Amino acid sequence: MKLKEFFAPKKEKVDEEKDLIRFLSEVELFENLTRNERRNLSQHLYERIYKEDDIVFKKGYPNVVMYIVKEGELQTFLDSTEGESLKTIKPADFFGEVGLFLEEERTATIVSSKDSILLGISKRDMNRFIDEYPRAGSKILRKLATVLCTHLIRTNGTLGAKRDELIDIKKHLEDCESQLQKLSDSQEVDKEKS
Amino acid sequence: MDRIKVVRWVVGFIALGIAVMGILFYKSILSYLLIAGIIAYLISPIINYAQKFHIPRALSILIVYIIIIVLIIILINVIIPQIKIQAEEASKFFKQIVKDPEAFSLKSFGLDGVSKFIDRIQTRFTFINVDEYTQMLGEKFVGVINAIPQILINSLSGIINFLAFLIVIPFVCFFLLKDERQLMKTFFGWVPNRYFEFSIYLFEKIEDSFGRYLRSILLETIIITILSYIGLLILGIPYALTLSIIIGMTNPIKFFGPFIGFVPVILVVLFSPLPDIMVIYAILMSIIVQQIDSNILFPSLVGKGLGMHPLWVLLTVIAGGYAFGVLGLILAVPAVFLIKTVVQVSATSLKQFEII
Repeated sequence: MKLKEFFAPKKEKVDEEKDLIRFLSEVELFENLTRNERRNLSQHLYERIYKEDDIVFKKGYPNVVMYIVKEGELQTFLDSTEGESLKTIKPADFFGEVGLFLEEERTATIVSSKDSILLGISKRDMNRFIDEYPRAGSKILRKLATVLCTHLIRTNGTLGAKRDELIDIKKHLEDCESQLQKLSDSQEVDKEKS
Repeated sequence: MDRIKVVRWVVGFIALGIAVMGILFYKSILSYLLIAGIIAYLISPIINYAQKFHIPRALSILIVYIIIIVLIIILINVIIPQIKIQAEEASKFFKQIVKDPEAFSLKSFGLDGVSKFIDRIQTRFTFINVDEYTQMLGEKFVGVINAIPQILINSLSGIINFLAFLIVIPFVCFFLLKDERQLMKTFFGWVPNRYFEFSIYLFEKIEDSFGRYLRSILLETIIITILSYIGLLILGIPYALTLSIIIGMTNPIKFFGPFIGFVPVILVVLFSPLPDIMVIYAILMSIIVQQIDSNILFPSLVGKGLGMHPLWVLLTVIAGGYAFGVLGLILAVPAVFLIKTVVQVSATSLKQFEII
């Protein structure tokens, strides 16, 4: 065995790594990173395999790991897993990013709805990567800010729509109330007459 | 159903057997692995830092190795001659005593009362020969001193072990450093999903407290060695380098370390032609160094400290010394601190992760 072969990684390993680096360019958060930066980042990723209906984490768990979906599909639940799913997470999406900034607990429960492969990166490793490679870090953070802003705008949009709906409902309720009042008034008048 | 259970038990039993056999087989190199792991852990920040500048890990490890080898060579060239001089002087001192044939005879001290007392005992109890006993003891002592080189040669197997140690550890260390992330991926890959986040959490918490402690102890040792070296040089005490290295090495022993490390300094001062008052100055210097250590170095390096009560630390050091000797003195506190951290972190987070 030559010395070079001894030190060089195996071919399958290299292919695997290449695949991973290619995949990372499809993830919105990392699409601006150079190949080298993506390779460095991939060093910190843990590949996790989840079967259908496996719970990734529950609301209230400590914020430790951020996940990127490589394959499969997952559902977000706010309270229990029995309610309606809040959001479907698809490949190249990521979740658990809140933990990067806040020490708070998990705010939702994530359950895989199909067999999924996730790439986990610990919050500390991610923060270290951002510190150690500031150029790559600023790209990631800017992208993350964009994503979070989009989320905020979308949420504001839905919130606005919901508010309009609520106002409509309130108006409707008020109408109903006044009609009821009128009805009961007229009934009273009827009673007095009789 | 039952059949599956039986199969599971059998498979589990076989796995356990393989694990036990593996541990027995690799038992003799476990200590190497442990030491290589610790060294790799201490070096890894440098390698990670170098990676920032696109220096391949293997290359930066080799550079660090070369630097360490050069340092060791310099140290050996400086220390060994000093130790040699010291050893020669010590052996001269002992030979001078032994030249006198009645060196260990109590009579030779020229104390009239003692000699008469011995004579009186010997006339009354003819079977007791006090002088012979004391002389025998003295000769035994000299015999032990003379036998030291022989003991060193006899422990050839020890030396071979040491050589294996010298060759194996850098190798293991190299691969631990080079494939650090790969090894971590493999290790956490074994953890089931249910415990994945918990294990990462536990690992990071331990690294934050215990790892920081381990790394700062190394820095502390180096700084204390340099400080005491400067202090001893200023005082003009001979063998300053050797003595300061001893002081630095014993410094990690809590409470007792500074005292143990200081004994050789006192001995050297007393045996050297220096005035005995230098002992006081040396003690003053040691107190200054210790104050710098405990008030400036330790708080800034280790941070908020171990979180262990001083009494607990004291008892741990004593217990470690009883159980494992010198190594126990040094390692007991870190080991107990590690276990304490694991228990503490687990106690709070196992519930949060709904594992218990």
